[in-house]
Amino acid sequence: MPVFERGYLELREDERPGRPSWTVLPQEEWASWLRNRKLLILWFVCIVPHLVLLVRTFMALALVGLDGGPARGRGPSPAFLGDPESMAFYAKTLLEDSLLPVLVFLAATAIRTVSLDRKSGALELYFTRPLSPWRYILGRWTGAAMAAASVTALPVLLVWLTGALAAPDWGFLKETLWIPGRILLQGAFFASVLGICAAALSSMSSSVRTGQILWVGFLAVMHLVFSGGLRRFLHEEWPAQFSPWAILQRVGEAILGVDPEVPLSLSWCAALSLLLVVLSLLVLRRNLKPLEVVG
Amino acid sequence: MSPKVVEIRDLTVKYGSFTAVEGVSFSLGKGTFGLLGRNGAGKTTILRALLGLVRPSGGSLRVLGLDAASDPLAVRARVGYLPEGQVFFPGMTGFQAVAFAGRLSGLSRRVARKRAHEMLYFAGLGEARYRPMEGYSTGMLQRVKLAMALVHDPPLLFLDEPTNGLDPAGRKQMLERVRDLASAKGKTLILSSHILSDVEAVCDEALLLHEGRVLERGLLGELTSAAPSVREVLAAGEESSLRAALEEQGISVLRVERAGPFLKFRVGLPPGAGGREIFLAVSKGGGVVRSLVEARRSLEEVFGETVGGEV
Repeated sequence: MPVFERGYLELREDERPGRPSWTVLPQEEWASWLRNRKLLILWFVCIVPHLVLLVRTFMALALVGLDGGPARGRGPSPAFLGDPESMAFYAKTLLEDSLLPVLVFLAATAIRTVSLDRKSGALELYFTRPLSPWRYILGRWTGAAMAAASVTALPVLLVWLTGALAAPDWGFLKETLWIPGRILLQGAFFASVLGICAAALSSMSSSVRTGQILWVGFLAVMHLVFSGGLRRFLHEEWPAQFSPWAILQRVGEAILGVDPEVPLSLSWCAALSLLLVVLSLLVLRRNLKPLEVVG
Repeated sequence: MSPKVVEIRDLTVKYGSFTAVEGVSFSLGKGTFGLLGRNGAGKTTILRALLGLVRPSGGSLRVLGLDAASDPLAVRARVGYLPEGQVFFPGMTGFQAVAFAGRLSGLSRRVARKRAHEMLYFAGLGEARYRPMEGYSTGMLQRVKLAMALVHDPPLLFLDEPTNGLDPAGRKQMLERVRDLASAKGKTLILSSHILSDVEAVCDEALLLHEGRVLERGLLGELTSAAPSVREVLAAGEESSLRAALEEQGISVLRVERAGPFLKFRVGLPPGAGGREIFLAVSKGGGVVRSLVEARRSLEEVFGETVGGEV
């Protein structure tokens, strides 16, 4: 009998609901992003620095294969290509070139999520299911962190993996086996702090545009003003600690084991990162209070 | 006696200094119940408190034997809720939204997808389920919300203004389906509405709420039954002569209205009088009795009499 003629059907015993899981949220969020063709194009644009890194990896490996490099004065210099066997080769893409991709990609994804949930009334639908506000936060945090990781650490890991597979011998793998672990750790750190900050800013308004403006102000404007302008103008290092990106950069450099760009105190930057996470969690929780509907 | 499905004792809910619900107590077994009241009477607040969405300022709530305040997630896993208003999951089709709601309630991906199709057919949404919800009419959203409330097959349903935005045919269909859930599938149903005819169509029992308090509670039959001495007479004839003849017999005419070619009298009988006296009076007034029944009040009348003013 066709389903529309059967009326209301009860669930069979083996189909009964199990324990609800918050992981459904990031899964659905990612499925919706993958269905969005414009977003996929934007992601490709955002990983251009990583594609450049990939080309440099191939060229550097090709030079190694040329037994001492190309003839003098011909082809790219090894100094320009860098050394794919050193962490410094990957660090620049991870810590400096990622700012713009993170800014743009999260503004198009994670920053929209909670705002739209508030605007559409979906929060009420979530909280009338067996989902607590903290599980909702965890789900949204994970989704945003995955978005951040997809334009920072994950493509760099793929570049390293491609290099390892394309290398002429096992020497590359032996020399660089320690690199992916650190990239993964730095990626997890960046993604989790940026993810929760993005989710918190998104929860501050039901307008997506307001959330995006807040995000740009939080990440880009503060970085330009404090770490760029004021630091150089005053010839002092302390203004950099007011830029969230500079703080993350400093901790990221320590995780990757490269020389710091901005000589801020590592423990101070780690504490500030933790403070950002805690504040973001509190802001999110506060903004997710059930709506007070009198009826 | 059936076990209590919902038990509320002395429930008080305050939003800041505003008291939305005050001292509400009632318990419900299996069946269909209507929460009836004007906008702002406290119906939605009671439902939200039962789901643990609103923290009560006082009192206790138990749903299916669980404490709604201390164990709201367990309550929500066993309750299907159709919220009021235009709420939807952004960026999803109707089908995706219902399947997603199922997964949030703990269904596996395969069962949630299968179930979404079944419930959307049951709710009366056909091929439109593949369209984004942003473009849905209010009526279509109501159907998706009903499907979402049913997707995990809960034993208890809270329906908050389920017929909002539906056209007359859609409204009839929705009420029939809701009624069927209770009568054929044994679901317990709490329907909150300010539309009295919706409650009359679906519920066996109703609670009349006004300004956060329960005014009256009872079976719909009891609530709508008038005093035993009141009758409704449908008669053919002249109004003035019929009225005079009835009053001559000591029968008070409470109300007269035209019903097609006939006159509908609501009359109060004197002690000891019965239908015979009515027949005699109408005949004496030159008319013919077409029907004679015990009078019933509509819920509108009950509500109007209890609360006062317009419904």
